[in-house]
Amino acid sequence: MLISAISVKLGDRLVLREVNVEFVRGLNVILGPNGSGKTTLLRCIIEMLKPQTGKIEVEAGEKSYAPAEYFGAEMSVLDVLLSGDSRREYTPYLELFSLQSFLERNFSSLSTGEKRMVLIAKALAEGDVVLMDEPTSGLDLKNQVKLREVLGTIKHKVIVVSTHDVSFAQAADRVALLKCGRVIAQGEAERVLTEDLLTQLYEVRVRRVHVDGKTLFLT
Amino acid sequence: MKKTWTLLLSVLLFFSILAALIFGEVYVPPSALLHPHGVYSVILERIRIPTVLAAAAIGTSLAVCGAVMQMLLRNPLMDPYVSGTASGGAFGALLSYFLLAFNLPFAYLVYVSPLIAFAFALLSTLITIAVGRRTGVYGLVVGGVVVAFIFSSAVTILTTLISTRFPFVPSVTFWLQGQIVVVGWRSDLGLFALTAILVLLGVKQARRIDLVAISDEMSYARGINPNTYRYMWVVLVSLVSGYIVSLVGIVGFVGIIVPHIVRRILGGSTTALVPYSALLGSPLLLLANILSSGIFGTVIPVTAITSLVAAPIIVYVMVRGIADKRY
Repeated sequence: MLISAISVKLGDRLVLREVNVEFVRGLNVILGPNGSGKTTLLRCIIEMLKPQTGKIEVEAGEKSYAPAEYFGAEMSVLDVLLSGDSRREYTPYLELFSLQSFLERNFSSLSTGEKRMVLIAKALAEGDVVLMDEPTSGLDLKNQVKLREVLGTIKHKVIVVSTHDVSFAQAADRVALLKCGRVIAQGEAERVLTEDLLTQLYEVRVRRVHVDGKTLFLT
Repeated sequence: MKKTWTLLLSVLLFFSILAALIFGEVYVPPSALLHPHGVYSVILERIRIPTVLAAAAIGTSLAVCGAVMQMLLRNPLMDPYVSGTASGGAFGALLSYFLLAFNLPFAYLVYVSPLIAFAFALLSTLITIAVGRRTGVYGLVVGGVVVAFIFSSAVTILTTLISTRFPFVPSVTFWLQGQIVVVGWRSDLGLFALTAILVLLGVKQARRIDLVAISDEMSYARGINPNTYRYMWVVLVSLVSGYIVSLVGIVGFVGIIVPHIVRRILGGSTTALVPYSALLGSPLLLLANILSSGIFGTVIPVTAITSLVAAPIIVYVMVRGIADKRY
């Protein structure tokens, strides 16, 4: 997916300024603080928002979206999966997240994290280009790790995830840092997730340490 | 579960049609249903049968309109009455009487009135959505109430004017609260056509309606513009409500009561809400109409009865449902 020079103005505020970014097959992460324009960028890709300038070229195939906010409709999980009539095979993705036994349960009565996992499984099953807005929020640690692992292994879809969670970005094939509507860096995770760039991104001192062969980010 | 309820509701529908044919301003003995004779055959053919069929279709339509509006606007308290649609329609229908001043023959009013009712039903719904959209669940209800207030006072002014200028026009006091007493075969045709379109489209589009209810972003990704989609349904709902209002006046709350019951029993997916609301809407309105049309010795407007049923449901949803965020 190639996004060329898009600018988006919402009301008086310039939310995205001349954003150029490329997403590849596999896991792409848009990393940025609150209000940096991550959601706006995702909304442009599904044509919910029209950029004032620039263009977006997307791979052929179905798009899907796991939103940050949604309506907890009072219907079964199965009905939620079938909504939109996409008619895909959901079972493999439900199994990845151990959701097979949820089908008959009432979606509105699930916990925040469970609802989110259902919508993530739905998006993964339906889309060739899969967009996820803050998918880790509301997930417990186990599910956060699980999600990171699963997304890291899917290489035949273009998956674009927005998050402010630095550790999540480590699993990505490609990372774009978004600050105040501008992309300040993009590329392979190892190259982009540096102390300097992250400190600049979040405006707090970020330190990168190695413990037991793992890289951790501390503030 | 669904099969049992389909059977149960079908039986209920059958008996409520039977009861509606028997009871009314004139009692028609069951024996006369099987072998109509004399005055009974005239009553049945010209009045009772077409009116009962109309009431059944109206019950179905209003229930389905309510169900679809509740899903698309994410608000379990929406129905054509609460959203102000019916009040706008009533204003439009009344306004059409003023065409008499321009020497429009009284007989043509039957054709013009639904169109003007539709136009104002649409207008009032759009105002409600504009007022309530950005303010969440209660915003739409408040918006609808305000719009209903505006059009009710406009209606009151109009009725006063009409009764002084056109004394031959029958009183509209009852009509404003809904009165399904005499509906002819000709009006039935339009009603059946609209009801059929509404129900078929609702069933066919159920999964898409579900998606739009869950998330705007998910809809866009699927290639559905949720706002355009909502407006398409608002136009259809206004068309149906406008036509119904021009025939029988404002019949309120069927669209709240019926989907609420269905949701409790069969869940809140549109795939269940539309077909089962269609099936339950008819008997509910038929039974309410029996109560309203003379069984207590006098005619009571039908909304007076449906609102008594709806009030506890509204209170329940406000106190429990929304507070729990179950919708």
